[in-house]
Amino acid sequence: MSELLRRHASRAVIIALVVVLAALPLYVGAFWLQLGLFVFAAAIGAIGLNLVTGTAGQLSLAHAFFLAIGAYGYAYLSGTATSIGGGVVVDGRELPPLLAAALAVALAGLAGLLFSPIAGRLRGIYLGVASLSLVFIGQHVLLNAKDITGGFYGRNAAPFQLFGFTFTDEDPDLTVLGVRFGQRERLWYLGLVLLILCYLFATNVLRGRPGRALQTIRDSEIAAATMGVNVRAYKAWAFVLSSMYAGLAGVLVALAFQRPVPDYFNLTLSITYLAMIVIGGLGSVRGAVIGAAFVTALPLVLTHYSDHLTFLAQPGESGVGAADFAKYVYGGLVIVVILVAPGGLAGLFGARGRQTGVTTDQPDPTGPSSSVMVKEDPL
Amino acid sequence: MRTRNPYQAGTRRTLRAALACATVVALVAACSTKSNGGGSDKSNGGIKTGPGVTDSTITLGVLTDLSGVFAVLGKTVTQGAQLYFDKLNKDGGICGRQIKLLVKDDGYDVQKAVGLYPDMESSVLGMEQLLGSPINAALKQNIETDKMFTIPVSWASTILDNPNNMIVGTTYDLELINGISWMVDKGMIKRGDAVGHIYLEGEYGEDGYLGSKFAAKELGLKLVGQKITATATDVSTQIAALKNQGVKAILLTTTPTQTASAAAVDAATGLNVPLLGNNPVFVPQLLGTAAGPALEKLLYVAASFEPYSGDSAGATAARSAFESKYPTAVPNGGSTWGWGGAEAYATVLKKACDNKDLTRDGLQKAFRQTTSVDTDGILPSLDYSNPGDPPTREALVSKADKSAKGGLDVVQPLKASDLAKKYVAPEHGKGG
Repeated sequence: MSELLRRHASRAVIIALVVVLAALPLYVGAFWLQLGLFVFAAAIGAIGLNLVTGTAGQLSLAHAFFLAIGAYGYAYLSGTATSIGGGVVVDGRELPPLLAAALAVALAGLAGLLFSPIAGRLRGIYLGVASLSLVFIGQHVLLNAKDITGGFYGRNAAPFQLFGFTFTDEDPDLTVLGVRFGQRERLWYLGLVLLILCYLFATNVLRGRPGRALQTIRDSEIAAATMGVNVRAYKAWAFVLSSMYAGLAGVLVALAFQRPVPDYFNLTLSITYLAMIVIGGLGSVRGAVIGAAFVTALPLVLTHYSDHLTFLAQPGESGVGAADFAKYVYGGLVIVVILVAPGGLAGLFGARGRQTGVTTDQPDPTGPSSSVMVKEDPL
Repeated sequence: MRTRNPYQAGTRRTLRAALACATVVALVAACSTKSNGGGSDKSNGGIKTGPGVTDSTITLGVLTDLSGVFAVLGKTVTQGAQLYFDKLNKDGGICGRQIKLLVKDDGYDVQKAVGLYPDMESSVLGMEQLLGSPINAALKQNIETDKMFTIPVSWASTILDNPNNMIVGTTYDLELINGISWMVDKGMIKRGDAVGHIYLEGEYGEDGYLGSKFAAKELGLKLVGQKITATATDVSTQIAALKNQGVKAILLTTTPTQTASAAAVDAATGLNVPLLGNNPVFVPQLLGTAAGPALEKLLYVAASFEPYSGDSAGATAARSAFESKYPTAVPNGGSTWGWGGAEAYATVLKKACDNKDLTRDGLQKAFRQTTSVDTDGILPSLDYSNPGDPPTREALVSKADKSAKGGLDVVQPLKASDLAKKYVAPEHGKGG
C-alpha cells in the first residue's frame, strides 16, 4: 500500500512539474526560456544516450555526431539556397519544416543503422573508441561540406512551422494573458511537448520486453542469448533508437541556436552527454532528464548570477570566477555522485521506489547487476 | 461488499490535484507582470535613447572568454577597455552619461554564449566586445535581428559584410600581404622562392591564406599551403614537408601553441627560415617555454595595432594605466588593443550623441559616418564609411623579444604596402 501511495505521489509531482513548466513562459524572461530550450534538447538527447549506454551498457561517444546530423539535416532540408558570407553559398531543399524535422530524425537513425554492424559487434571501451571516430569524421565533414553545412560559419535554421503556425516573433502575433509570445515562448512549448512524448516512449520501451532484453544484455550477453534474446539485433536496434533521439535533440538545438555552428558538435559535447546520464543515474529515464537539466543549467545559472555571488571574482579580476567555479562544482559532483550515489541524482530523489515489479528502469546501485556493469564500463 | 479500487482513486486524486494546480497557475498568470522584450526607444531631453541608456549611464555588453582557451586574451582586452572607459568617465563620459560595461564570461563555449546573449540583449545598447569566431558565427543571426552594434575580437575579412560589425584594425589577409611585402623589401625572400604557409581550418586560417595567395601571385612566389586543425599541438610533419619543398620562409596563421612548435622544429631541424605570423599567433608566455630562444631568433608578427611596448602616446597611456591598476599581471598586447577598441567605440558613441540619437539605429548610422578614428597611434586612422572594405590597410611588423614589455618589439612601423593598397577585399561593396 505504501508502495502504491508513493507511486501516486511521484506521479502527482511529475504532473505538477509539467503544469508549472507549462506556465513558466508567462513569468520568466528570455534568459530562462533560452536555458529551458537547451535543457529540453539536452534531456531528449540524454534519454537517447541512456537507452544505449545506461540500459544496454554500450559506451557511445558518437552522440555529438548524431546531434549534428539532426541539426544540419533539418537546416539543409528546410533551408533555401542563400549566400552566407565568406563567399559561401549554401544549398537547401525547401521542405516544410515538420517534414524536414521528421526526415532529419530519420536521417540520424539511418546513420545509426549504418554504424550498427559495428555497434552490434563491439562492446564496452572498444565501442567507445570506434564511435569516437564518428565525431572526428563528423567535424571534418561539417567544416568542409560547405554547401550543406555552411562550413565554419554554420548556416541558419529555418523557423519551425506547424500547420501554418510559425515559431517566430510574429506571424501570427500572439498574446496570451497579456504576455506577448515570441519565438522563445513558442519554442518552449514545442520542446516541452517533444520531451514529454520522448519520455513516455522511452519509459514504455524500457518497461516492456525490449527493455528487459537490453538490461539482460548489459548484465550478461551470454545469459541474454541463452534466454533467446538476439543480442546483436537488440544492440543494433538500441543504437538506432538512440541516434534518432539524438537527431531530434539536434533539430531542437538548431531551432534554439537559430544558427548551429560546427564548433558546438565536438567531442566535448559527447562527453557532456555522458556526464548527464552518469550524474542523473545510469539506466533511468528520469535520471537522464534530471542530469541533463543539471549539467546544462548549472554553468549558465552560475554565470547569470555571478554579479550576486560575492565570493567569486568579478570579470576582469584575478581569482576564481563564476565559470571556473561552475567547473569545480560540476567536476566535484561527478566524483561525489559516482562515489556515494551510483544510482545518480534520480536515486537521491527517490526514483528507487519504482524498482519493484516490472518497472526496473534503474539499476540497483547495490545489486550485483550494477557492480558487473561498473566493472565492464568504468565511465 | 463494495470494494474501491485504490489505483483508480489515486488517479482521480492526481487528476484533481493537477486541475487545482492548473487553476491556481492560470489565476496567478492573469496578473503576470513579465515585461515584454528589451527597452524600446524613448526620447530623453532631446536625445533619442535605446536599450541600456538612462539619464546617467550607457551600458555596453562584453561577452568574452575569461575561463576558456582564449582567457589570456579575453582578460587583457576587457581590462584594457575598462581602463579606457574609466578614464573617459572621469572626464565626464559621453552625452553626460557614464559608460558601464556588463561583462559575461562564456568560456569560449558556443552554447553558453547563445544562452547568455538574450539576457544581455535587453539591457545593453551594443556589444563592446564579442570574442571568438564560432561565437560570432552562432550569434550572427541574433546580432542582425537586434541591430546590435558589435566589436568582434576577430580580424577576418569575411565578416566585413555585416553592417553591425566594427573591425578594429586591418584584416588577417592584409596583415600577411603587408608582412610578405616587408620580407621581400628586406631581402628575406625573392621572386621564384618557395614560401610555406601553415594555417588553421576555418575562418581565421582561411582568411590568412587568401592574403598569402594574393601576395604570392603578385610577387612571383611559390606558395606551399599546409592546412591543420586547431587542436593540433605539434607541427613537425608540416615543417618537414615544407623543408622538402625548400621553402625560404614560413607563414603562420595558427594558435600560439602551434607557433611555439613551428619555431622549435624550424630551429631544431636546421631549417632556420624566418617565420611570419598573424597577430593572434603570439602570446608573451611563449617566450618562457623551451621554444623561447627559437622564437626570439625567427618569429616576426604582422599586426595593425601596436604591441604592449608600443611608443605612441596612446600605447603609452594604455600601458601606464594597466601597470598602475594591475602591477603584478603578465601584460600582453590585448590590453593595448582593448584600449584602442574602446576608443573606437567611444568615437562612434560621440558621433551618435552629436546626432542626438543614442539608439541602435542611431549607432549604425553614426558608424557609417565615422571616417577617422584617432587612437593616438595605437592603430592607424580607421575609416568605416565603405561597407565591405577594411577600415585600414596598414600593418606593422614586430619581432619576438624577451627584453621588450609584452614580448614584442616593433621593427617596421604602421604602413600600407603598395601591394596592400591594390588588394580587393573579398566582401568589397557588400553589406551597406
